[in-house]
Amino acid sequence: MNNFTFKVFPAPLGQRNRRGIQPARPIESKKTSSSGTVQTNAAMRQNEEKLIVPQEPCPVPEKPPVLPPCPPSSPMPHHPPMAPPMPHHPPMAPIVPGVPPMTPYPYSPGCPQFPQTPPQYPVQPGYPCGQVRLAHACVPWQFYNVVYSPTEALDKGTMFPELFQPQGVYGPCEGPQPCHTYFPGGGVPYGSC
Amino acid sequence: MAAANERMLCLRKIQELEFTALELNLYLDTHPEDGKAIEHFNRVSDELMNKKHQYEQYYGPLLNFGFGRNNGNTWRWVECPWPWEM
Repeated sequence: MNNFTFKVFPAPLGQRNRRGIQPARPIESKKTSSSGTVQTNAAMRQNEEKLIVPQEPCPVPEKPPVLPPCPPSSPMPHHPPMAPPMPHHPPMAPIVPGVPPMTPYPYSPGCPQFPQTPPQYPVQPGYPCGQVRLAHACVPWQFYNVVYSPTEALDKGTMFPELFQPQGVYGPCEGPQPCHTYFPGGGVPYGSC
Repeated sequence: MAAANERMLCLRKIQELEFTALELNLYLDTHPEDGKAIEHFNRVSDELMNKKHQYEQYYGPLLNFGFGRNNGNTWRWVECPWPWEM
């Protein structure tokens, strides 16, 4: 039976592996003889001890901080009660011939040239536009009643009198005219607010 | 000069009728069951067709193809003045 020698070479002096772990202590070489006895290679051990330098002890890891116990879970906050249902629209307004009077538009409380009180939106005939809200479009239904002649329709840009809105009539800040035309004390240039 | 004026008046009448027909067209898109508007549209359309035919009889085609006939032995489309020449 052949003899086998297992030898472990020590790591270089003072060198650690990338993980910061010291290399394991070299194991004594053993030689197994044919008789089955184990012999220590004393000469090899002496050479290895010369290479082994006592290294700094590993730093003792700090004890993990003791976390306070978790507080008892509090119940989820309740949602506020549902908003009350939307108010019902008022009954249909009676059909009033003619174009309703124009009101200041747009209304912006932050603009000094605009009135500080909400405008009274006109109630269009046949449509509940009295309870309008922001970002809610209100398009009255159009009826075929009196129409312009073809000549007058081409001049006005529409054949329906209820759609005839020349420049400057739609709102106070429409077009290049200043707002002080409609609101004394205003006068902010158009588009600056 | 009088003929040119009369020609412009006839063209203006066609533009008026076309605009009225377009307005009724848009109205009927949202009010398809309005009988009065349909009757008005048909009346305007007939009058518009007559006016166009009358104009093309006297002054030449309004469009190059598809909407009118070439009256005469020459191609009147290129003989007629362009809108900016009238």
